[in-house]
Amino acid sequence: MTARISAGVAAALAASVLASAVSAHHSLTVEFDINRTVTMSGVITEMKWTNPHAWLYVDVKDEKGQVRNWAIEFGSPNALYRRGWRQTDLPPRNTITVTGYPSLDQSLRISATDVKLPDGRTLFAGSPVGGGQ
Amino acid sequence: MRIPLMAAAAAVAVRLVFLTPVVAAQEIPSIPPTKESVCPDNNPVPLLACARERAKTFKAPRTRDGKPDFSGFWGGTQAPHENLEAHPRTPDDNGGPSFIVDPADGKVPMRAWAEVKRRENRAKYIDQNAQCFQSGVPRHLYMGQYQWLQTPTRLVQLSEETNAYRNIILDARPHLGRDLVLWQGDSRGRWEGDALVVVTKNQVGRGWLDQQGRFVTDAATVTERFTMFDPNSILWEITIDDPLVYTRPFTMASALRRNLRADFEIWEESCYEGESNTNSLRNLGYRTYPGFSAKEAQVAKDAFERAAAAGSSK
Repeated sequence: MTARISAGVAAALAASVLASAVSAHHSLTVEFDINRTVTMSGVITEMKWTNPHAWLYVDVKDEKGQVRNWAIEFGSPNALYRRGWRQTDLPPRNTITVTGYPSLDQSLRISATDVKLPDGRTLFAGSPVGGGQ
Repeated sequence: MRIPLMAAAAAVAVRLVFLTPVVAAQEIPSIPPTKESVCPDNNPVPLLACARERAKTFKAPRTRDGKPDFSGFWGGTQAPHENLEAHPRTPDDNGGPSFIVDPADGKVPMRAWAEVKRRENRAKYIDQNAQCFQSGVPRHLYMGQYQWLQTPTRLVQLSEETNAYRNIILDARPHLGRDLVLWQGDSRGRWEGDALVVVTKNQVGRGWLDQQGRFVTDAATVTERFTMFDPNSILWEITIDDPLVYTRPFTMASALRRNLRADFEIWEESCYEGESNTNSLRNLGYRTYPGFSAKEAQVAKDAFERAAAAGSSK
């Protein structure tokens, strides 16, 4: 069975994005296009707990039906752990909808401003003011 | 009956497995607890006045040799890494007041040539912080979690960020000299009453002071003054003196707050393991900041001023 994302984890996720913003390593505008946002739905494939930032990977079908794996940036593993996160908290095969700023270099990376679960729960509320990476 | 029981047990197990993080998320606060200070942490000018006044009567905890005891876990209270000067909240920044208390206008007193260089830095180069280089002094204390260890001859500041440390030596020995430059510089401390005054020289000159590209050369002198003004708060004053870059020394102020969470510990941050921003930024044309030495600054300053003089005489 597919593991589900709980409401409490959703709350922790919201705090984690703020953590990422506060500790941003450099200005968001040099890497992401903050003048436009993209929204996409996909299936979680992996969550990597790496420094300086954890990354969530999501399979998304483009308009031609081709599946492409997008990367979404999170806070550091230390910050996630202190906020109650554990590595199993965003299990693969869950569907997720992401809105965010696209990477300026056209790579498949997003600085997320909003992430929703299929039932409408919002994981990230508002823009990651102050950075991203 | 066995199958329903097993199914029920499995359901409970699933709930337990996936509810565990929920409980943890509720029990662990998003920010380690600190006690409120009577002085406002989020605005340097009133903070400075308030903390100095409080420090006049506050008796700091003591080490065995009778010095103020700075040992423990500390954290920053501001985010000057975005911009040393006052800046609005935008999609790129949290925003906030100026970090600068002198000069009174809150502006960084950059020389004209250095302002041109700052803009070039921002347009061409990658912030050293993004590449996991050490932040240097004072930037390594802007954000994150720290553990300070104090002996009669050392104050060691351990940072989670990039596993950086700073060894402040308190035994009155001289600085290393210009033959050896270091990302964190060489820090020498002395006591002035209950304040610890730390002078740092010999930084590598490859670090920025903020994300706007404000920089120091390898000739910069950074003087910090750490003063405890209540049991859980330190006033941190920083004066930057780099006369080729800035028209005058300027001073910034902030508070460091004690992390009171029980059993708190700091952990490694192996910053290079997953660092991927550099590739993305290189694809956009940005390069690693090579630094700017005092010699290069002298040449750039002279050239800029000659050009300005020639322009004004035409």
